[in-house]
Amino acid sequence: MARSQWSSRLGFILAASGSAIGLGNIVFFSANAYKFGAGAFYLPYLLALFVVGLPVLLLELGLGAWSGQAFPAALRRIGGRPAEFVGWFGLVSASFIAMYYITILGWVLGMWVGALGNDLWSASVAVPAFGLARGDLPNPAATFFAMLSSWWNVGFVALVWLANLVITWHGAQSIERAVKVFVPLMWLFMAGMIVRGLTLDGGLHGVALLFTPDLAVMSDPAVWRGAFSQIFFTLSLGFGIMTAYASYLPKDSDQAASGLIIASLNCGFELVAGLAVFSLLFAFSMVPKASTISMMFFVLPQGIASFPTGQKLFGVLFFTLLLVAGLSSSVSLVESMVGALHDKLARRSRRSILVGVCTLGMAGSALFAWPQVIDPTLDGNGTIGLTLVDLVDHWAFGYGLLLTGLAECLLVGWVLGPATLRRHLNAYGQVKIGAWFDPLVAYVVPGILTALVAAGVWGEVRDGLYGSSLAGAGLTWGIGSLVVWLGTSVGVAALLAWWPAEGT
Amino acid sequence: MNLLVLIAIARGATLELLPPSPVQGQPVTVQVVDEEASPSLRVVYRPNSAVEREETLSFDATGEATWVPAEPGIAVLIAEGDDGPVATHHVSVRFAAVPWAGLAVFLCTSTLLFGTAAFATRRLFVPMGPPS
Repeated sequence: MARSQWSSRLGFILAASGSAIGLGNIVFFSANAYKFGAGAFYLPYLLALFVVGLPVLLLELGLGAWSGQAFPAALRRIGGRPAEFVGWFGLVSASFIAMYYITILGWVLGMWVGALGNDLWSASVAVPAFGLARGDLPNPAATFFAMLSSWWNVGFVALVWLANLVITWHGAQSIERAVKVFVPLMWLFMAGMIVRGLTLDGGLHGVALLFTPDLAVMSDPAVWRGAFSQIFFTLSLGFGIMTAYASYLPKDSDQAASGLIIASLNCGFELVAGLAVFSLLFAFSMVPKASTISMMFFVLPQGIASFPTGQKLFGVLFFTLLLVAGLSSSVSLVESMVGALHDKLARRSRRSILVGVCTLGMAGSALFAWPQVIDPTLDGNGTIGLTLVDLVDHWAFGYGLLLTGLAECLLVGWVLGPATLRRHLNAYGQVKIGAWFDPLVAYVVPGILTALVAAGVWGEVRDGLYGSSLAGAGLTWGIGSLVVWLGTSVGVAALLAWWPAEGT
Repeated sequence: MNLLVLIAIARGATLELLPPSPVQGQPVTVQVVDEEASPSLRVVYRPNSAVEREETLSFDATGEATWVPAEPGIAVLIAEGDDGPVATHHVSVRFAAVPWAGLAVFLCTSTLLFGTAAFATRRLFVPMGPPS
């Protein structure tokens, strides 16, 4: 079976950093930083990078280079079929995430189209599906809900899936070609947003807010929990992406240097995105919710709409930035699943697997885009689609990835032995990884991930199962979504893990 | 999640601040306009965050209150009457002096992150000998 290969180290670095840098770096980081006290959040976040982020990133890159295979097959080499099951479980959770992530990208595309016209910036928009007249909502929110409650949004989602199919058609080669354009564009557009943000009256005070430590708030354990979760998610850990991407490199590649570059560029991008977002928040005294959707579609566009001049220019720039960053991440989600399935089903052509994954993915994304209104008062999420995004995000993103990360650390830390992986990384690396790696992977990271999962479960027990209070269409949304996510992830992962491998 | 962030709850009353751009530790006169009753003033620091903090002030007979912002950042002022909020005002409280600690964190972090990226990139593209 011929596996795809990166044509250059630069291509791999751009692809891996493009995967890690996505919508989350631009909006989720800032929303989370605001939620946990801005300056109080930043230092714990930085510490989390070195304690959890970097070790797990190196572990996932090392697995790909050591095994030369995608995530499930790499884990299988360590612990047989039960370990392979862990890999598939992570990938199925990642597939759920890919489906709603691409739906959100479809909405970004819809808002980009809206930004090109005048509705988003000047004219009031009515939203008949929610019984809202012109002027009842600020324009960006009204434009968003008007799109969300129409079938147009499914069309936008289909276009984004088509873009993913085209970009991943030739595997690593076509992804490499795309990211060589996307990643520099991302940095360029972000630079434009920063310049605008910092030149606003009060913009610099917003930046100071993000970086000035607040020790009193920092003593709150919730801040630390938020920071450690953020670093795990922002580096795309637990998705199996880094293992898949690293498996397309020659075995003698320098994974330690690659890991350092990916982690520092990813967090560097969040730093500069924080400059742009916090300057905007402060200049216009905007109060965000700790939600990517709210920050992305209401708060920041509302800030851009308040610019004295150039709203349309910066609006289009902002949504283009989101599109480009999101696409470079979504192709990695698609590729990690396609690569793993191709390892398993080696007799099938890669393209037939890709078309199958994209078709199933599009069907799932269409559900997340379903425009039927179930909550006209907007006390909750409004439509069936957005309600599903909220719930699946909570389970797959909030638990699926952490559980996968925990299991992979235990497998490497206690079955393979972290020193084995470290020796492999050091054998081919100019940057040597010290013995600190071993206890972090075997004890510290599993301990922290267990604490994060336990805190989440305790929250479900204390406050009631997430989604229990969601009403609409006569469905029990909380327990229903948990059963669907867990049942599908466990069922599909078990089926794939025990399915006989072809042609190996 | 409730996605709507900015919901107008005012009943025609407004809050006016003097100076309009408050600075941490410096008194601000807050006046409620177009409201006959004398409501109380609730100040929410870091609103909508997991670490928000509140303080409550009273308006005097002329409808004015003196607020000394305790910390920089975004705050919401809510004038409350017997039946609930009558006016809200979002405001950004500026730092009183150059925040040297924040500047240091920013510079150190930027150097650390982009310096690491530059160092590792240089290492990655340097040819190496056979594996040890």
